[in-house]
Amino acid sequence: MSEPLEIVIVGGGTAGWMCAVALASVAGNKICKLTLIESAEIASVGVGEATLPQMKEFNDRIGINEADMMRQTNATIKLGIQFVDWGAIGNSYVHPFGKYGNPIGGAYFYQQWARADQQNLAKNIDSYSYAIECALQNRFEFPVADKNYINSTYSYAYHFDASLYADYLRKIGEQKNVRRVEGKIIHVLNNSTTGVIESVELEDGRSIRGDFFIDCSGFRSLLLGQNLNAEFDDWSKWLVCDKAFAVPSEKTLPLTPYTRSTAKKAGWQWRIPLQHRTGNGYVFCSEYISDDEAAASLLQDLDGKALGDPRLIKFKAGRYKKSWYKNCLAIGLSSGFLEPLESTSIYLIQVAILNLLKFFPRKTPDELVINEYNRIVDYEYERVRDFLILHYHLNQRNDAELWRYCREMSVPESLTQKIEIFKRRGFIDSYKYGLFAQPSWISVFTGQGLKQQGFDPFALNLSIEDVNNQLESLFTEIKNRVVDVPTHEAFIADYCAAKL
Amino acid sequence: MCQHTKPLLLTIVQRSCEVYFLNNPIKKVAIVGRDADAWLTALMLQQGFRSSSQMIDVELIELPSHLTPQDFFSVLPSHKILHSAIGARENLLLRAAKGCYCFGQRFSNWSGGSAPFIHAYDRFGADFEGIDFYQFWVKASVSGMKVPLEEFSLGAVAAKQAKYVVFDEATETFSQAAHGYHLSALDYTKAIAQAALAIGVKHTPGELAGVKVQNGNISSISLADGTEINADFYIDASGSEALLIKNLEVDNIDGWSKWLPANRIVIASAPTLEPLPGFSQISAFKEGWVGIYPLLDRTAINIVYSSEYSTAKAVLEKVAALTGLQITNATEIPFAPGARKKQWIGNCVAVGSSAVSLEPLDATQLHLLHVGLSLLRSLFPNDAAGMPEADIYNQKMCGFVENVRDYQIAHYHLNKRFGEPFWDAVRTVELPAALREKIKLFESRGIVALDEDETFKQEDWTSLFVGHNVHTQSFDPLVNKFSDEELIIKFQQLLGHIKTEIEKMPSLQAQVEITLL
Repeated sequence: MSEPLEIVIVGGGTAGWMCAVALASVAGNKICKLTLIESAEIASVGVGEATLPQMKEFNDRIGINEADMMRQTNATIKLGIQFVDWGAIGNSYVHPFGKYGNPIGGAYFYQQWARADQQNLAKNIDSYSYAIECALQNRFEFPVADKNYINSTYSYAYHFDASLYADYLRKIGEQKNVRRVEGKIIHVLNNSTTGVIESVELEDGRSIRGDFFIDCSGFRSLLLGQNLNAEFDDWSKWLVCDKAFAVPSEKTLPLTPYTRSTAKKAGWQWRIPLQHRTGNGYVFCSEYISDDEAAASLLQDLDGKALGDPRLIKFKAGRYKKSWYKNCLAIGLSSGFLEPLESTSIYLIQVAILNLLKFFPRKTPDELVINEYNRIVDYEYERVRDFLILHYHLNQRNDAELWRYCREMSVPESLTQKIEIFKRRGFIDSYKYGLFAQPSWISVFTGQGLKQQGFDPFALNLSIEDVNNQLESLFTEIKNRVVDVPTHEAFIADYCAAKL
Repeated sequence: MCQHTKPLLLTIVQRSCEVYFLNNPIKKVAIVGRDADAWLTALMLQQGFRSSSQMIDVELIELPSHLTPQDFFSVLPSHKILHSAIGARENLLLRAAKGCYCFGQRFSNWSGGSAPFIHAYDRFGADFEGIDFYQFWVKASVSGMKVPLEEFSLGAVAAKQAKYVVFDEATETFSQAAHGYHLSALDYTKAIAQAALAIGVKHTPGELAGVKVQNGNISSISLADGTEINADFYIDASGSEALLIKNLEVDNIDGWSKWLPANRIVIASAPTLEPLPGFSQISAFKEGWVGIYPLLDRTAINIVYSSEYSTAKAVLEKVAALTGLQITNATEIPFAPGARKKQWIGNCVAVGSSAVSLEPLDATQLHLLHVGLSLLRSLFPNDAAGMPEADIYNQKMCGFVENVRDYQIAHYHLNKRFGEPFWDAVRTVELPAALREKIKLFESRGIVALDEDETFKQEDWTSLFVGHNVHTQSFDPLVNKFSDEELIIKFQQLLGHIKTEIEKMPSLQAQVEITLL
């Protein structure tokens, strides 16, 4: 049997520890020896406190006990994201982790809804999603498995304290023989003929060699960006926000099982409820607002007392064209940045890790395997990118320059086609690679005021009266079921109350 | 003859009036074509629209049939989905079509002296801890294990032993065995036509005399008897002649002869095989290949070859000698593989063989018709004035078509029939880029780079590559988590399990006698 692969992970934030624990759990000591280098001097960014339902699958795969993890990270439940003032001021909708009803009369539910809506017969589409109703009523229980029940039509994710999650993973990682090295990297040594990274040198003179290097160094992108000069694909002309202020605030009640994102003059503000506090941040475009104004605006819009001063984070939307190059793979912020509007940061870390496990490296880089990894990760990034751009582009706000710019900017061709064909007839393509499925696109399209001009002609097989009856009965079924669901607070207290 | 005049009263009193932003809903669809392409299209659309409040007329202008009693279809398991979309009762349909189940295809003589292999409609083995079974098989083979990959596929073993797969709970965890169908084309088409007529498809037999084009759209068509037909949307199901769409196109054909060099297809029949085999037999010979497809009333034969190297008479003699079958009623048709780059232009979409001409290999007959119809189901135009749906339809069709084409090309390209000009040429020809990369990655690491719009999945490509002796050079390092002893136990368990399951299953012959005779 061959020698284990020496893997060096540079950086120990969420990305670094997720990666370390996943490799330790799935690959194990026989396959790889793991070293993680982190420096206490360098703070982790930890913006991503809201996750997506895929997080649960990831935790399950690496053997994490959900209730224990939630307790240790002050976690709460997330059923979706509420978007306030997006599209137009006064507007509000929820992007749910769940669907909007079953097909009716040979056509998708939303097609029939759009027909009824056009004749003012339908309620807001949010009223036909169990996940949204639960969210807005601040209730939660686990979904049931039997697809015949209305309370099977959703999944859930977590809000958690990302640095506590990293600590939690660190404990597991160290139990699983991940060697943790405290230190600051000052130099990277590349092989002069092959170009592969051979070792990294620390400030105290130590040198750490490895067969494979994973760059989790955050925005600095120490190995991929700085050392290998990888080419960056700049997406900031579409996603113009370049800074964020983050600040925690005192907990307020009721405990909402959803993230809130409120569009503002120069960007948007997030609100993420945890068990012990609320996480907040204002993501903004520095062209339209000064740092001071942005910080003041963030504090002014808190619903609880600020617990500290706002902390500034700078970034640029985009990604390195190839996040895996020879024996170096960048995961997390070192590979690219997309703003946390749809909580995709941790998801993209997860995608990278799962694909790393699928395309597990050998001592000698295999160009074909690397290309395949990059091909699949490209799909993921570009599709998330398009979905984020949609939120900005689809607006009727006239109160600020940011919104005018975004409405008028030309967007990637792939997105234009999606918008046009939806507008024309409500068609939403489905794909094999990439995150957001039909309900996600429906929620943003309809939530931000894009009306279908026409329908799937097959929808007309059912009379509008019949459609209306079915809409009504779904609405009633949801209402009647949700009142019996425990409150989110009661659920947390019972299942995973943190020792605060 | 224009049929805008349905009894209006009936419908209006029942339905409330809906107002649309788009002003020109499709009122009339004209399908011009023949045989299965035309009738399946007509049936699907009529089925979809017959209770519609929009009163859409579906008229089939039926051109004279090209089918002979020898014609047949060999179709994939996914054809079941089409049957369910058209509301067919499958056993009745199969019975009418002298149809028979088929659990895979057995390929012989493609790779020199190598053993035949089965491409079954099933996965291989069971994944352990999320790692593809194939990776374990590669490691075991490198260490000297001699058990062929297909022995770990329940579907392949069932096909070889002519069993009908019946699932129990234990089997479901590692097998997804499914069967395709062999169908007698004339009887099948007749049954579909009856069903279409029974639900009210307007049927006008005739010959096309003229097609009028205005601003890139078809404005009307005329028939030989002088009838003129105006429709909002035209569907070309006329086969390779493409009688409608050819009037709208310039430089629209993508030819594939350099990769798929056969240019003749001979169709013939032989006596029934008993007991029924569980697979179609596909054997290569010097100038092409021959397929043998069991049906209930006969055995269908097709011979696909290049006229550059042989003649119908010569290949028939050769095939008779090769197979030992008594072959009768042979007819020959010319054939050129290729596709229309744009299959939907203006207000006309080409479906089935008017859109794509592929070899009858890998049970892909009717498959691209099926893909086209399901896309059309999702993208049926909702306004007669301008059909932006065409762009996305064309993009997606193009993806599916090229991936299926590549699957067929791979059989040819990976041949090991050295010293035969027909085969030497396709082995050395430059491949489409996506296929080249697929083969290289599989060779390097046993991974299948799947595209977005793929008919054939990971297990299908794996079966094809392994069957054609593409040797995977390295396997997933994570496989080394398991000791050789652990692997041997897992492998033995799987083989034992498959053996036990297969023994419990009925023979294909018995199943057919119960359900189809």
